[in-house]
Amino acid sequence: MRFFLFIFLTLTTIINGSALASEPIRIGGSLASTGKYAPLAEMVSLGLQLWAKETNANGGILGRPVELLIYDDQSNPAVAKKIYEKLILEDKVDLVFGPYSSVITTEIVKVTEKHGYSVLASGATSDKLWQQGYTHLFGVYIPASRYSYGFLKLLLQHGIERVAIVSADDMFSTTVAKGAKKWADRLGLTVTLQEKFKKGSKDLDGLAARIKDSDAEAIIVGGHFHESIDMRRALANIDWYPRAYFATLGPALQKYHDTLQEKAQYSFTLSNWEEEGVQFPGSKEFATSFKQEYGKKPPYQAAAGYSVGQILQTAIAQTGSLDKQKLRDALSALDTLTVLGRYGVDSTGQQIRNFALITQWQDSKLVVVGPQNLKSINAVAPVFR
Amino acid sequence: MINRLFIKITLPIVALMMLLGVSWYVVVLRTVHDFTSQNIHADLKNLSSQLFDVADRGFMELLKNGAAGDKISVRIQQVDCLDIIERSSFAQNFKILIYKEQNNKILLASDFTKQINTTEIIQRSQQTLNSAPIPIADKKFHTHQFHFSPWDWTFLVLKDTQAYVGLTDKVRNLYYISAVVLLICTALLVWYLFHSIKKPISSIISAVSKENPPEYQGTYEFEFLAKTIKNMMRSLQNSKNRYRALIDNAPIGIALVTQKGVITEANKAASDITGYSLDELGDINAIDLYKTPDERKKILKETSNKSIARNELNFKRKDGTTFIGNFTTVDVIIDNEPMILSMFEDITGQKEAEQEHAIMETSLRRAQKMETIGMMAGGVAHDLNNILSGIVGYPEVLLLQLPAGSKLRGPLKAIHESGKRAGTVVEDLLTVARGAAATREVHNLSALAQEYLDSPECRKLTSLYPQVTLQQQYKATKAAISCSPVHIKKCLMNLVTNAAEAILGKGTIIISTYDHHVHTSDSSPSDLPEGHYSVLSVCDSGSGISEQDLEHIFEPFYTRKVMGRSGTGLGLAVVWNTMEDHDGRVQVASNAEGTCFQLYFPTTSEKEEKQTDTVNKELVTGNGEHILVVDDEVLLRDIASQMLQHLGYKVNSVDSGETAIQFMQKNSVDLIILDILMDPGINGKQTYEEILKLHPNQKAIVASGFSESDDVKATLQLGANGFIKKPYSVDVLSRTVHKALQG
Repeated sequence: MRFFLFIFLTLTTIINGSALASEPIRIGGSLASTGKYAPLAEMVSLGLQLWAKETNANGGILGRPVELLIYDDQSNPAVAKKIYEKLILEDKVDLVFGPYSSVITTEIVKVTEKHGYSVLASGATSDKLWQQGYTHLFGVYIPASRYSYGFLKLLLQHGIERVAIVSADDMFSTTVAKGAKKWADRLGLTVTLQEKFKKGSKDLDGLAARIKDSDAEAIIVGGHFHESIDMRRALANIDWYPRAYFATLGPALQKYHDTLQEKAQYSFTLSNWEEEGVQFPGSKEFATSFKQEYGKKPPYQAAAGYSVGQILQTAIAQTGSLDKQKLRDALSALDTLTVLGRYGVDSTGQQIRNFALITQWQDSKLVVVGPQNLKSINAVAPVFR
Repeated sequence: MINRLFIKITLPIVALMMLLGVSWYVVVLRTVHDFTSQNIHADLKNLSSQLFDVADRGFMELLKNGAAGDKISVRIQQVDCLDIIERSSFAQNFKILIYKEQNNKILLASDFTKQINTTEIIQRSQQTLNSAPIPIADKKFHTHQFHFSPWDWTFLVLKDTQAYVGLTDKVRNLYYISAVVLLICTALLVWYLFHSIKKPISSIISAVSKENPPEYQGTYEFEFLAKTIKNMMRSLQNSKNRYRALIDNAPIGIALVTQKGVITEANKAASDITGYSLDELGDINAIDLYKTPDERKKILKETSNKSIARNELNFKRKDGTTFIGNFTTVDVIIDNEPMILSMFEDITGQKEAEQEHAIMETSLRRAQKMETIGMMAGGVAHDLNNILSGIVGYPEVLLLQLPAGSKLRGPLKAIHESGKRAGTVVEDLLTVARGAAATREVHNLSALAQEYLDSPECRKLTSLYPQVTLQQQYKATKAAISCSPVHIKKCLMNLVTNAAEAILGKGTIIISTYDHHVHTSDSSPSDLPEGHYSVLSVCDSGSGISEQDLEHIFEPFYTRKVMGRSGTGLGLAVVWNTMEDHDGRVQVASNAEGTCFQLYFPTTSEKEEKQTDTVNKELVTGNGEHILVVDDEVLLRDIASQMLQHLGYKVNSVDSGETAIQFMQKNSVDLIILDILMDPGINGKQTYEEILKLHPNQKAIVASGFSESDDVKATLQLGANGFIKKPYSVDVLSRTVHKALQG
């Protein structure tokens, strides 16, 4: 097996003429820089790196610089598992962070749990993860099952009663779809169709036709970046567009719009953070720094990566040490604000304090359309003929 | 089993521990259970209150926003509430079921509804009304139900009883741990008690049960106990040893017997006396030791009214022999059981000695009596004989001279006969006194018996008792005895006379002889020395002699007969003395069927002498030989002289020994008839001695009224040629003189 491409970034801090002589706090993890999760994972990585840089610029943590060890897991759970084993057993990192995607997190958490390393899941939201009894896994985002809740409420407010729910067959996507069904039922909406498709399927025209035939007024697509793109294209292919199109993750990226162009119009998605959304402490500064650093707007995934650093930093500051058990206990009980919003988990480690925004592409801009008190603009749900 | 120390210690401890355990369970656990129940309900109430607040806040928000009438807003608000409630149920680990009261439409249900129909859950909860837990699948849930009226929502809050099990489990675990600890403590305590109490006691008991002194070292109290027991055992053993020494060395038999006769204890002397070993004594019954059941009755009679009884009883040894025991019984109580302490000693020897002593005493008394009588009789007999000599002698002399038809012959014969009868009595007296002279000859006992049977005296007796039959059985093969035939026949005559008189009416007298040999080991009659005996037996079929009389029949003058009828009471005394004189013995056995006298004569190996015809009354005359009669009695000199002269002898008589010597100094005679007892002056023996000096071959006949006295024997040994008993008849004188002159 070809050994993975090793990306090693060492950040040294010489700020204001002062040199940090202390041993660095080494934080390791894997984020795909190749494969299907690469686009989203890259954002997390950028956010995390920005945090590390800024932290070191501010004196590090406990007087020690932060050193990130980020490996490319190639969007492959097996590779990711090996990376975490290496990080823990060979690199002997002090801390780890989570990879991107629920499926990869599912694999690596077996390693981290075994060695007592706490993991902040900056790229995983599947409810199932927090039903396994892990004691060192902590969510950053709202659970995947709640991703469509805000959107469904929006539908109800707009008098849209019939919704189709489709998803890829991966863990995250199916969780999204199940959640959507639950909320739809609770809200009294009619689920006209609920289907799964194989992850990576490009041709979703047939599914689109079925959706159309089900007389759905809205579609909820559970998936990652490509599913959101592929489903939208499929609809275009059959020349049919529901009043509301919601897809997870993909539409949150600029790349989504860049890829679909006008077809991205009116696409809804869930966003855990938007620059123009909730103003959490440090959000503006984060956005500014991100743009300065990378020349692009930070998506919520980047904010999530940044917030992981913040959370770790807060936990370390609280415990005053890198003791794994202490950090675990701190993370379990922590209630703090980050650029991503409020962090607070339940007894299972699942995030319960944060909330998400509903965003929609309107006029080539991703705007916040929900919750009601936080929207910047009303959602649009036109009827397409 | 239940009295065992181990049980008595263990049971109460175990029972106490069980009681503690049960009490702990009932009191504590139940209390905790109740407390837990209260807490559960409080907890549920609290939860319900929180959930109520969620719905209430949602509803209030709608109201405040004026959206309470907006269905969509209401719907959204309700779903938001349900979401909060759902998340709360995850966070606080409870189950929730929310449904519309109106139509039971389920709004929110936790995942347990997969296992059971929600309708059934609702029904069950309504049945219990928030009190008892309801079962769902394999679990139980505490429930609390409340209603939120604004939305017509019924909340059923369910909490798994397992959630509260923690405390109960803790207490239950605590209880179990306590129970285990209690059990362990109990076991340890029991083990400790076992080790420190039961084990030492067991070791002590084990030693004691084997009758060994216990040796224990350890706990002071048990050491003390063991030491004390040891000392007590030693003391007991010493007592036992002393007891055994006392008992076993006691010269008398000692036995402890139960009321049923079981011999539980016996000493060595008892074993030695009875011949049974100590073990065998334990196996037999005491009754078996009595010779006969009557013996036992004797002692039973004595013990019937007193606790101590003494008697002399006959017992039986193991080998069947018997012994006389001086037997004493004492009623004792041993270990609350009435027992009989028996003590006995073999007094057979003593009894025999007493008997012998009594016999000897009787014999001595008799002998003394006899001696007294003899002395008396001897004195009387001597004078009587001299007097009788005239009464017997002169009639004889006169009869020799009177013609045959003389009228005086009758009276003279009567006088003669009376004199002779008187002489017989004197003779008997002398026999009793044992002074009567008698010559010993070897005769056949059977022949002597037959001689008597053929004698006129016997014929006369049989004529007097015609209904009495005399039988003879001579079985003696060695019947030669050295005896005085006259006395033997006299004895036989006395015995037969007594036998005939004892028979009333018809009867039989058997006279028999037989041989008898006495061995040293035999129990011989009257203690006969070892040797061969010829026995003369006279048995009658008379009425027998009483036991009381048997003791006295041989005493002189003891008679039951009418005085003057027959006998003077000297008959059996004569028999007795005759047997004593012959070194024999007389034995008598008598009962109601008759009496048997048995005379034991030692036999002799000497030749029998030819039987002389004692009946031959023909006189033997002399040829003018010169005879000197020496006697101090003038009558006797005169009678003797006249008889001798009638017989054709030349006679001189002198009145003393001195005179006879003087005579012989000057004269010589052919024969001297020499009286032994002459008073005063020298006696016949002394006279003969002097005469022999003068005439060494002088023939002489000794004349005396006593049986062979020492002087008579001595004179005969000097060379005297014969003995004649006074009073003598002319025919006896003629034959004795003739024999002496011829010898």
